[in-house]
Amino acid sequence: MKKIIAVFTMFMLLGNAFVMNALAGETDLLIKKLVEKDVLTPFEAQILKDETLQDVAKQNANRKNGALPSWVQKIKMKGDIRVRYQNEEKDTTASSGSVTNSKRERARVRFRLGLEAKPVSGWKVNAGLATGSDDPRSTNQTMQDNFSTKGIQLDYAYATNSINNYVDILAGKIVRKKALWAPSDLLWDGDVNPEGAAVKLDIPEINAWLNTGYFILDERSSGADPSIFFAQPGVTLEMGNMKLKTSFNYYATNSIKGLPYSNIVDGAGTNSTSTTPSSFKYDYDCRGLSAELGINLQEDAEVDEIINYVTLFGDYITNPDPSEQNTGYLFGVKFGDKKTKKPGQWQAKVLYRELEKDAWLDFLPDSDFLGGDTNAKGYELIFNYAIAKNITLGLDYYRTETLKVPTGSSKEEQDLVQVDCVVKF
Amino acid sequence: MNRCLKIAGVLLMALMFIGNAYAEDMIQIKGSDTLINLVQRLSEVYMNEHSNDYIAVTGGGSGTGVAALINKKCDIANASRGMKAKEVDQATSAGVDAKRVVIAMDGLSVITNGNNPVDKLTIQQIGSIFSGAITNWSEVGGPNKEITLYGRQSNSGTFVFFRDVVVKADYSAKMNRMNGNAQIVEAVKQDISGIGYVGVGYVKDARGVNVLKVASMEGAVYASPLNANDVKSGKYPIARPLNQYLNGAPKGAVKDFIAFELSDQGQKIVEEEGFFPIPKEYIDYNAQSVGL
Repeated sequence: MKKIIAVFTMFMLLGNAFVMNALAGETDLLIKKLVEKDVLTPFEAQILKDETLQDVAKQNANRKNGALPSWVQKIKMKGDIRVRYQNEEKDTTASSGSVTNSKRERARVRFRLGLEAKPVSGWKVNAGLATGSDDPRSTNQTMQDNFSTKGIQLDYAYATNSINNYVDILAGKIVRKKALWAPSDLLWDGDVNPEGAAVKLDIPEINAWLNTGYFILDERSSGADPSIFFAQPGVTLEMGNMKLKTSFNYYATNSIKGLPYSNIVDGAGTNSTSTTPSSFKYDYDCRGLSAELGINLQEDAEVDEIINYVTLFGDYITNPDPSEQNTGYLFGVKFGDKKTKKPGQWQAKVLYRELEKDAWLDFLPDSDFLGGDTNAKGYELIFNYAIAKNITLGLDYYRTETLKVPTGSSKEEQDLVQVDCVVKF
Repeated sequence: MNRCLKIAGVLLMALMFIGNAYAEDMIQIKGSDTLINLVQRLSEVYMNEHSNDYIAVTGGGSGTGVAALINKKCDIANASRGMKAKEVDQATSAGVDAKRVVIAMDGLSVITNGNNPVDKLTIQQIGSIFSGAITNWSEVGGPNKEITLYGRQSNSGTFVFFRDVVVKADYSAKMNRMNGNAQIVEAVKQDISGIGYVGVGYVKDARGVNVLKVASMEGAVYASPLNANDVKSGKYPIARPLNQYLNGAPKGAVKDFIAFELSDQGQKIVEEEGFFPIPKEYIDYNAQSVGL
């Protein structure tokens, strides 16, 4: 009888989560007393305490969610704003030996807003807007033109269907890193969001995964549409405090060779072209390797070391169609904290890359590395520091130059400094 | 249809086939490192008797398992602690109806070096030691030596449980945070001043360490985690349930496997792995929670 009364009392209190929140300590005392009086066994007390906590938490969650319409509960939004100071200095050495120096300073702003909706179980819709023009490799707007209003573009919009625990299908204008992994921006500028479809297979039981997809570069009213197919099998291995992620990357381009260059790229590029008309000279059925080794030096998540995390990373690419100037590579190291989210967290990165003229398509690599051209080499130093939660200051320095100067052509050398303040929400 | 599209089409079909082949009758279990050996053994025995079923068990910690359940990336989350309020909130928001089933009991053991004469302590004394309020063995009837603390890291469910139930405060900043149970046993074995906490499965046959008897308060009876009756009756005050969380009531292959875990055969395996079978209170609880 005493036990029935005790349990009844507890359930009456459970019905009022406000009371339970206020009486959490008193509940523990009550339960302890009931055990001492042999009204409850120790395990019954344990069950009662656990269930009380769980039910209060569920009621609080339901109350919070119930206050919002169901369609709002299914949507999450996020975004960020970046304000940048950029200083570029370039020396162009002509074949005659004369050197022309050019300098440029710019203040730039970038704003991004994204949403994620889960309309039904197993489906997700992601969409994002960003500042910028139709340049796929930049979301920046330069502060200029007498405070003119700046354009906002559709940055990405895609749907994801998780067929089961292993396979996801994505389609639309996709955030590249969701479809295709790359530890660096040797081949893919961070702002490029390709268009098409992709499939991701992840089998954690054997540490293996495969990304594959089909990206459409352009639609031509007459003639075949240029496109890229890719397949990226990889493994992710955890060994103690180390995590290794590595992949083989295969790309097959369609209808690139012979395609007029201007169909895809505005202005001059660095890939080899046939003379009349100026069209791509080679296929870009490239293959390569990517690897990233992370080492956690932090023995406990609550105790900071001087350097908590070190990552070694690299990319390699080769194009079998041309017989020369057909490879590229990048290797780098980053150290500090794994992420810069909390105040005081920092991360530094040092990397070196070379990308030969026809190793890869010249309209896709990092656009800040000697203008995003192939036939380039150089160093990059990056430092980021979180001054508050989700607010970071960053410094990025590029020292780049032309890799191989053709006879009669100019050599370019550039120093580029970017100072950023990023606020995420 | 060009060459690339043909290859893409074939690859897509192959991926769908591989993905579905893995998904069919595949049970994915993720989470607690305390539970991983036990559940792997249970699943091996179960798969020997049910050759059409495949069970994959991975670790990563209780938090990893619960997160995977919330993200619908696993069927069962192993957890050596209860779900936190924040996790319940996330599960509710994600439409996950988290159901708990208790598959075994653990007598969380407090160990000292084999040459330390202290063989019993109250919960309050243990809590004071691990919070740093008591720093010398002489304060609890032992030799005049400074106490060395060995515990787990903050991502461990055992770390959380011991802190919440025994220490009831923050751990001492001087506590050595070890990777796992086996490391704590080894450290205490080699340190005459050491004290640590480990799952009972790691000390049942261990040499060179004392497994302390613990009382719930001054004047109460001291009980040992090595005494099955003390743990089953609840007399041992640091007994904890070892949990599995599911999304909703279990069905199909998941239901069959959990029924196996709770069966006499499954509970015998629990004992062989060094843990304790579930007591009557949790048998009744499981029946009410998941109908098994």
